[in-house]
Amino acid sequence: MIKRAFVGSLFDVKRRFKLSILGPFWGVITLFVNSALLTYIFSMVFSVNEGYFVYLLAGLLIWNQFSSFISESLTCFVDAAPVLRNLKITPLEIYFRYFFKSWILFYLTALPVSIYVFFFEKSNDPFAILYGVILYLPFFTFLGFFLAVLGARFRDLSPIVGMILQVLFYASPIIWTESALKINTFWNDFNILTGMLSLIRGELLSLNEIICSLIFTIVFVIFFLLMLFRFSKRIVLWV
Amino acid sequence: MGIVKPKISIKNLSLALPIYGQSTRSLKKTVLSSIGGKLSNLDGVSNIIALDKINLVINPGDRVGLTGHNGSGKSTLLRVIARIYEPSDGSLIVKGRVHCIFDPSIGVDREMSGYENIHWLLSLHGVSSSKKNIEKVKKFSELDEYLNFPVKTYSSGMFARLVYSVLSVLEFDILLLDEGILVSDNKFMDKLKRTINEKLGKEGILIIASHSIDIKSKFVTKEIRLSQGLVSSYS
Repeated sequence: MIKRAFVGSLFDVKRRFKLSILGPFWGVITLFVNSALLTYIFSMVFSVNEGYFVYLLAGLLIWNQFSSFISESLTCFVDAAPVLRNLKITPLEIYFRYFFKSWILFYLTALPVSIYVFFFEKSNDPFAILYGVILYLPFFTFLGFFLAVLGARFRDLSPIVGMILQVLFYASPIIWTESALKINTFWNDFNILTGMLSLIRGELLSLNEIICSLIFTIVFVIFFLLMLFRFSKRIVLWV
Repeated sequence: MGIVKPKISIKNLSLALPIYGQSTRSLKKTVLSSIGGKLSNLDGVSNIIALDKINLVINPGDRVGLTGHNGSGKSTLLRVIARIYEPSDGSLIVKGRVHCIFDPSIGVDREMSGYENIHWLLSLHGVSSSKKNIEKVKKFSELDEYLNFPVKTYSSGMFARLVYSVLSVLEFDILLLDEGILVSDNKFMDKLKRTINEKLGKEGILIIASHSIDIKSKFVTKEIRLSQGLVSSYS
């Protein structure tokens, strides 16, 4: 099942870039252009440090993946409705096909970013982007399936999650640095994105960030199992 | 043919398809009473009773045609046998390896070439996309150089050839088909019939949902007629 999901995800990635000359490099170009423009604008409005460009680059890379993974998880089964209704294929396989596709696309962007940081920027660990994310993959696996099942049943969830994501973007250290925080907030300690961003920026995780990641992962493992055994067979009737 | 003799036993099987966000009353206004399954309201959710207490035994060697008007439950019954839908009530015992092709367009990407689609379709059916299998599908389809072109350039007959040629490398005891096969020409349909019969052998089961007399005369020896989710005749 996992092998077939992986082959399917490669087919999806290939299909996505069919007839495109630059293919996955469009994602890299867009990321670099956005980061450069925002660095230029922020340097005129606020005082930003020398390494702000890389800081923003890594932040936006993770944010783009985080937000698109969550938004697309919600519609994963709805989009695959014709397949679910016509082929002997489990929702879990459909989900893993989407999951692999999402992370293959992420690594196609993350790899050139790491190479750029390695050659052109000062960084504690230029390849932290690549392996830092791997530590969070179990969390994303369970969270994504939970959202996919909920999204299939409750179609109003997508706009609600969209609103939450918008707030989360400004409430996480993506464009602002943690050192700029005037007070150490409870929220920042227990925001899973904060830990993830610290890790891929080559910093060590704080104890709170480790506890937070573990708690979130365990919670979503429970939700994942609940969704899998309780609702898996009903999904085809919802989409 | 597998070790187990293929057989399908269905006892008091019902399937209720929930319709969320729609009341039974407003549905009744839009659905004509003579078409489709009956409507019911279970736990505050409107349901279409797509299959209603079906009892059937399909024996080894049966070649069955499912007939009935639109919405009578033909495709739904096939999907239940394929274990895509879980029955709401009753029991279903399916012995043997099941393969199904319901909507030929599923899994096919029209932007990709014939070869790329064969590769993916084989994987989707759980078969190795080895060079040998791809060659076998190519030979069976007779699409030759067209397999290098995007599927969007194919006619509907060529499209059917591409999809149904995959059957030439599959191993199955029970084959479930919906009527998409209709668009292929007579020559290909005869060839497909021979291959399906060879693969099913004397004991394999074939079930086709179709309105077409041509398909029924070519493939089928028994007929099950459905009406509003009930078996109205089995001959």
